Amino acid sequence: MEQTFAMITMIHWGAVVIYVLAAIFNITGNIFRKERALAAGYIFAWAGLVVHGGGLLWWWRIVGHGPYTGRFEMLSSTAWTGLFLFLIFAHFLPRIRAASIVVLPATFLMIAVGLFFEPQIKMLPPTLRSVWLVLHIIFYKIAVCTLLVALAFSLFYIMRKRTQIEWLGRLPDLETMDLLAFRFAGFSFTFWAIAMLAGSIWAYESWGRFWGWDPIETWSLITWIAFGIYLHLRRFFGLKGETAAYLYFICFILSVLSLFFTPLIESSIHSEYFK
Amino acid sequence: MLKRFFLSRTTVITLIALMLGAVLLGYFFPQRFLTPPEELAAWQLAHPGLATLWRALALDHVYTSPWFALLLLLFLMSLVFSTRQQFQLALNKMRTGGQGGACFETSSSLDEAAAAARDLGYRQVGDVAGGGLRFVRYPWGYWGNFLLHLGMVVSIASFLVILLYEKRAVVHLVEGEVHGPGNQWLQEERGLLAGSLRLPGSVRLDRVKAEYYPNDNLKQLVTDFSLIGPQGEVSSLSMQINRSRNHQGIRIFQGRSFGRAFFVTFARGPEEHREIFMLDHPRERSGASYKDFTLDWLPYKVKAKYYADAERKSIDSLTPLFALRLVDGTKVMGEVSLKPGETGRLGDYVVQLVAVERWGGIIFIDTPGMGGIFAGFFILCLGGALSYFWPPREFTAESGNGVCRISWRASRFERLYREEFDAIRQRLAARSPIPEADRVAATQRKER
Repeated sequence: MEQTFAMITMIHWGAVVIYVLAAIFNITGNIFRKERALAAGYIFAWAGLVVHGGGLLWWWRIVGHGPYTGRFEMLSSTAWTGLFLFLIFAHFLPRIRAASIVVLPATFLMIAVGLFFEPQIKMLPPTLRSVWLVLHIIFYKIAVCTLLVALAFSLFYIMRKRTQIEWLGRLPDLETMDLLAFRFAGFSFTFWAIAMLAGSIWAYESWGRFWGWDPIETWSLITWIAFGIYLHLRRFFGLKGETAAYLYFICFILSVLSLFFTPLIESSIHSEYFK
Repeated sequence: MLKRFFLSRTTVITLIALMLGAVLLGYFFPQRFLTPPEELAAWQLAHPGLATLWRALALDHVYTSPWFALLLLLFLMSLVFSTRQQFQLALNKMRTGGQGGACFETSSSLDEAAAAARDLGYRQVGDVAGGGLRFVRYPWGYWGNFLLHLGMVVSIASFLVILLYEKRAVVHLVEGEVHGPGNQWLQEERGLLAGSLRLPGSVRLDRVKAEYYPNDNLKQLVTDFSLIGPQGEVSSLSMQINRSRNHQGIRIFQGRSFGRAFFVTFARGPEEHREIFMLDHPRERSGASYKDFTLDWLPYKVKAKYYADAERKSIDSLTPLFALRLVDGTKVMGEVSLKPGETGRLGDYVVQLVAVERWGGIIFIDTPGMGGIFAGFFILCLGGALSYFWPPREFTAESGNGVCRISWRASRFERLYREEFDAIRQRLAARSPIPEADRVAATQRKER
C-alpha cells in the first residue's frame, strides 16, 4: 500500500510539473504573442489532465469511491475538473482563453496544496453514499471553474486600467472583459445555488434535515447572497469597471473561504470531507 | 403601487442586504439550537449588554424568529413580482423579439438570407410585419431568466413553508424499548405555526446493526423497528442512512447517533439505585467514547467512558469496557472499570454492570415543502442551462428597394456573440457584389 501511495503521489507531482510547463508556455505565448508557445501550453495542459486523471482514477480504484472525501481528494479533483471545464469552455468561447493565465497556476497550486496534506485513505461513510452528494460536489466544481474565469477578467481589467503593460492590450477590450467577468460571476451564482440545493436535498435524504445552519452551510449562503448583491448592483445600479472588479474580489475571497477554509476552522457535519 | 414597491431596485437590494445581515447575525450570535445550554449561559455572563439585545430581538434563534420569517416573506414577494415580470418579458420576446442590435444591407435575396440563417443554426419563428422573416437561434433560451427566478421562488417558498410548518422529533431507544404516542421526545423542533408531532401509534426499536470497514470507519448503520398501531397491529420495518421510511405521512429517518446502553446498579447499604448510561459508539477500537452525567441522588458529577472492546481488538465486540469516574470539581472521588456482569467499587458505592444493550436514534419528520425544494432544484438547473448555454440570438431579414436589410441581436451580452453577426455579414457579403451596401448601423444596445 505504501508503494501505491508513493506512486500516486509521484503521478500527482508529475502532473504538477506538466501543468507548470503548460503555465510557462501559456503565459509566454500570451505575453510575447507566440502562437506556438500558446499551442504548446494547451498540449501540456491536456497532457497534464491525462496524467492527473490517470492518478485520480487509480486512487478511485484503491479507495473504492469517488475523489470527494479528504483534503487531498477534494483539492486534486477540483483542480482536474476546473481545468477540464475551462478547456471545454475555452474551446467554445475563444475569448476567454486568456483566463488560462489564472486557471493554470490555480490548478497546479491546488494539487500541490493537496499533496502537502498527504493522501490518506478514508472509507466512505454511509451519509456520503448518495447521488445527491455527487451532484452537490459537481455543481460546486463547475462554480469554482467559472469563479476563476471571472477572477481572471476582473484582475486583467484592473491591471489594464492601472498599468501600461503592453501585452494586456492584446486581451479583449475593457468593456468585453468587464462583461466576461459579469457573465461568469452570474454563471457561478447560478451553479452555486444549484449546488447548495443539491446539498440540501442530500442532507434531507441522509438525516432528515434539509438545512441545519451549520457553519459551512451558513458561509455558503453568505457567499451566494454576496454574489446576488454583486449581480444586482451590476444589473440595476450600473456598477461596472474597476469598482465591480474590486467587489468581485471580495465575493471571490468569500467563496474560497467558504469552500476551503470554513471546514478547517469550524466543526460541522461537513467537516468529515475535509478533516 | 405594491408591484412598483416590490419591483423597485432599491427595495430589492435592501431586502438582499437585510437577508445577508440576518444570516450574519445568526452566525455571530450563538443560536439556541446549535449551542449547548452551558455555553449559552457562559456567553450571556460574558456579554451582559449584548445578551439583553440578543434576547429582546430573538437573536438567539434568528432563523425561527417571526422577523426572519417576515423578511423571507418580503423577499419572496419581491421575487414573485420579478418572476412575473420575467415571464412577460420572455413571452414578448418570443412573440416579437427584442430591441436594438446591429444591422446591414445586402443585395442578397430574402431566400438567400433565410438559407444563410438556417445554415448557422437559426430557426424561423415567424414573419416580420411588412414582409420579412424572423429567425431565432435557441428560442427556448428566452425562458432561462424566467426559470431561474421561478426556481428561486419555488425554493424560497418551500423553505418558508418548512420554516413555518416543520415538525421534527428525535428519540433514542434501547433495543426492545417502546416509545408511545404521548411520550416525551428527546429533541423536538417545530415551525412557527406547527403543533407538536404526535405519532399515530407506538414505535419499538428491535435491532441496531452497525457494519464497519477494516479501518473502523462506519460502513452502514441499519435499524430494524416496529410500528405498533392503536389496535396492537405490528408492522416491522428496516431502515438505514439514505434509506428512510414513510408511515402515514410521517417520514422516519435513521438517527445519526447510536451506541451502547450500560445498565448499572449502585448500592450503599440498603440504598440502591439503577441507572442507564447511554454513550455514543467509539470512533475507533483504540479510542473511547465519553459522556458526562448528573444523577439526582449523587452530589458528584459522573464521567463515563467506554471502549468498544475491553481488549481493544475489535470495534464491535460483546465485551465492551465501561468506566465511571466520580468528580467533585477537579477532584476525583472514585473510579471503576467494568466488563458486563462485573462488580466494582466507586467511592462509597458498590456498582455492578448488569447488562449492556445497543441503542439507536430514530428521527420522525412531518415536513411539507420538501417537494418544492426538489422542484426548485430542477427548475434552477433548467433555467441555468437555458440562460448560460443557450442565450437566444435573433436574425431578421426584410426586403425592399432592391436590397435586403438584415438585423441581428443577442438577448444578453451581445458583445460576446458578435462573431455570429460578423459570420452572417461575411456570408451574405460574399454573395453580394456591392460592398458599399454593407453598412453596419450600430444601434442602441441594451444589455440584459
